[in-house]
Amino acid sequence: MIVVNTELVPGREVVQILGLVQGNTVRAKNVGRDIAAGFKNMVGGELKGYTQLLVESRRQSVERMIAQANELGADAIVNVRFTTSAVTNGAAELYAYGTAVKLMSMNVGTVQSAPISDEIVGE
Amino acid sequence: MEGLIGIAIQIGIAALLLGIGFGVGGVTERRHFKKLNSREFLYKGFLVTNLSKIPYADPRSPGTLVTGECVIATDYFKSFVAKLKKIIGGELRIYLSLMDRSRRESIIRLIESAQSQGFDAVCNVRFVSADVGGSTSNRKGSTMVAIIASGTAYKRAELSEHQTMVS
Repeated sequence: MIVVNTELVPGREVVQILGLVQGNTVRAKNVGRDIAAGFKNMVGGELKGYTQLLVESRRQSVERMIAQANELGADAIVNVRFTTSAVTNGAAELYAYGTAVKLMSMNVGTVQSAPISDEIVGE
Repeated sequence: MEGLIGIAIQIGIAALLLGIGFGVGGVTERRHFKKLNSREFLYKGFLVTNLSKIPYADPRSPGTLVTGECVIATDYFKSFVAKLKKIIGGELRIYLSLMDRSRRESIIRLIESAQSQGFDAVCNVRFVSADVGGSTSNRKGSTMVAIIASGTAYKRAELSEHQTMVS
């Protein structure tokens, strides 16, 4: 699955638009992270636990979006966007959405099949 | 008399926290900015744009989505100054550095993620701020800045006359 947040995929042509696919997740921070964050709020600096939470949420929502696109038989998801909303105190929703499309490879040199794995590497 | 001692202790604790916030927070921030500067210098040649049309793309390699996340907390001194400033309103300049640090850090992580996958350019960069601390729905929520940067990583085409224009 090719996942990009541009409207086009380099070297490929969109032949069919399958529609909007989406994935979301609502994650709550846990008490341990809360206490650590409380201390960090005195001295400042990066909240590594919360960054990790954000990474996990993003990965989860993208995975769910990819699963939906796979069901539609898509080759790629284009124009991916993220948005967040605060559901309740201490829990945030991360929502990923994009357009699932079918691609045709263009005749430019030797076109490789997509070397991108489904796993989106973080960090 | 006892009431006075209680008040004195409370003021003492507040002053101590302010001192810790000012000292440690300031050192952390300066150190972070220094690190950001050196890492940004390292990735100077990396093409990062927010254009949706992929510039100088190599058509043989489709791109992929890359992201960078960072959450930066405030310190006690900053919160205190901000609380005072909120009485009269106006720009909370003390919080600007938090936004700056969080954005720059997430951009660098985005670039690092792209580079580790063998790409040499990122386009269509977007920023989204998340409310992980729940500070908008609850006044007691702690102040922090959480940023997700996302973009499309791709390979640049071999050297052309265009590329000299970029660098």
